[in-house]
Amino acid sequence: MKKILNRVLIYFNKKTIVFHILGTILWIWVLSLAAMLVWGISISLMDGFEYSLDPMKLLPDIKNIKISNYLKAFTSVEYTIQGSKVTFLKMILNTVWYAFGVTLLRIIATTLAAYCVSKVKFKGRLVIYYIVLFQMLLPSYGSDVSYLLIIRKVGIYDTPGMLLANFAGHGSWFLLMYGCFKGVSDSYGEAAKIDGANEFTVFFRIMLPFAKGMITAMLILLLISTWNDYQTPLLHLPSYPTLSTGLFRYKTIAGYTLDVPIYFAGLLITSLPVVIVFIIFNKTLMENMTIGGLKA
Amino acid sequence: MKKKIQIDKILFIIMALFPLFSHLLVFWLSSQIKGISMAFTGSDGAFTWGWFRQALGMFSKEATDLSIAFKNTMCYFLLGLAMIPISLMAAYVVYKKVFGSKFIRVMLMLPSIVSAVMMAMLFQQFIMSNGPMIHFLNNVLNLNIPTPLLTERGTATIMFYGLWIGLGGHIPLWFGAMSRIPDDVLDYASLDGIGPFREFFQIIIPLIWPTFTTQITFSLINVFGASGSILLFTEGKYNTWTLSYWIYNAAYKGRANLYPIALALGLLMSAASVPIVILGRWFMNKFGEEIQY
Repeated sequence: MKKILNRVLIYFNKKTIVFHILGTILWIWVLSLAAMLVWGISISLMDGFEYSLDPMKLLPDIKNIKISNYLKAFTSVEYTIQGSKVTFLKMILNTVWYAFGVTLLRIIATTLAAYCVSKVKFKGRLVIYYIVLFQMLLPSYGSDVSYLLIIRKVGIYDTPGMLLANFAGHGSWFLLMYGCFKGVSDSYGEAAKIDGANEFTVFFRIMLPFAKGMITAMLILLLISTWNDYQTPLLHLPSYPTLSTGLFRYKTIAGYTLDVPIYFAGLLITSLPVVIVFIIFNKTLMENMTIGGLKA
Repeated sequence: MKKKIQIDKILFIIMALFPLFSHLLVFWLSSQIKGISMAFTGSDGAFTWGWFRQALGMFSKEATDLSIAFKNTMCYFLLGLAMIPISLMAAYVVYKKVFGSKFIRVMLMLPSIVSAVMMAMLFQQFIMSNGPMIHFLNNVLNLNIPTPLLTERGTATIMFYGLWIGLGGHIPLWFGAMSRIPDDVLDYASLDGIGPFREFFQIIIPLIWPTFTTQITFSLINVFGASGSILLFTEGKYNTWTLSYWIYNAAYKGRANLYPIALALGLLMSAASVPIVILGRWFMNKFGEEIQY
């Protein structure tokens, strides 16, 4: 006890009062967030009737905890759209192929393009770099409409072919990967080439391992963002609702008949995989995320 | 042998750049061209400025969807700008290992990790007239908050949500930048008796200046871009439109008659944001410079 008290005193002596005030504000901030999340979990364990009687209730009755809500989410959360039934399992399946497909294709395209522009010496590579930079920095506000018209014309609108529209090597990830490869000394590749290695060998066997940390960070963040993405699938894949778009639509369709606890159980199931991924790779993410001039 | 290496190199370049170029041409460039051509083509197929006039006309009238959208967009933009220094300060406090810093860091980041739909739905239930937040604010703290919050006060509520939930979104970048500051620099500063305030303003900010300017630049590029949570909360009802959401909604609802106006509006917004970005960059370069370390 004395040891803990000493540590607390040392801690408080080290920091100024302003620091304590800022720390307290942050604590209030995160506790309010935690309260909402805990309340969400609590609702998901309540009986539907119990919740409707008292939506202010913070915790479910201990004797009446409904873990079964999580199982019911798999069977109850479903709706029909344009004559086709959308089940919770279908939403999971759509989310898996969409999130993994988009992530994988983007990583392949971005890593290849960034390596090629940063390390392979050929005429015009700087031009490519500036094209990507220009494309990224050019504000393009009406593109929701024109992009929709283009994908309709190409024939991939509302089909799994939409994955092709994500086989893109540009954007902010290109710049991060570019910075990452730039930071690797040229001498490794040159030594390998003297030993007879070609560009493919240098890329796959020498350069890729150097970019492992950045690729992992990219994999996790892209996976999380596409898993949670609701605007793009809602607009481009209306017949393939993912968990995010499906649950959003389900609430609108269900209206007042919505069983809130089961719905919240469904929402929590949606977030469970990304939370697990985040917990496992938290450190990798923190170590690899930097933007704007510093080494990526 | 040399010829084979050269062929391999060319093959590699083609393979590596094919996805980038094909995507740029098929999806980006063609959609830009399509957008520009539709914005300048009238219903009769002839060249016109009509769609631009219509879009500007909708702006100038009082209380139209677009004039409201413009005001809301500016509010979101200012909030986004304000969130950059706020989140930087929060990241610094956590970086300096405030009590429970690991927990704070995870909790701040969690909302940007879990599903946005989940967070929005949770918030909606949380702030209902008979929900726990309003009960706490009105009955425990006696604040007398008027309800329901997502109708007349829709934009203010969504902005509050954006600030409350979105603060942690910047944290990984600030942390990444701060973690690269050499420990020696901070140790010497500490030995010289520099307090946290001077350390923050005179050491941390100059050393992470490139990250700071990049964040501001992205905010400036996205000056008219706020649209995210409106779809989840109100779908534009209760005067919660923003310019970007108005365009998204035209595409989402398939309102083909609005496409040319939306595209003209998009071009106007893009044109207006370019000088803002250039001015912002000039301003930031004037007040700070990148320090190599």
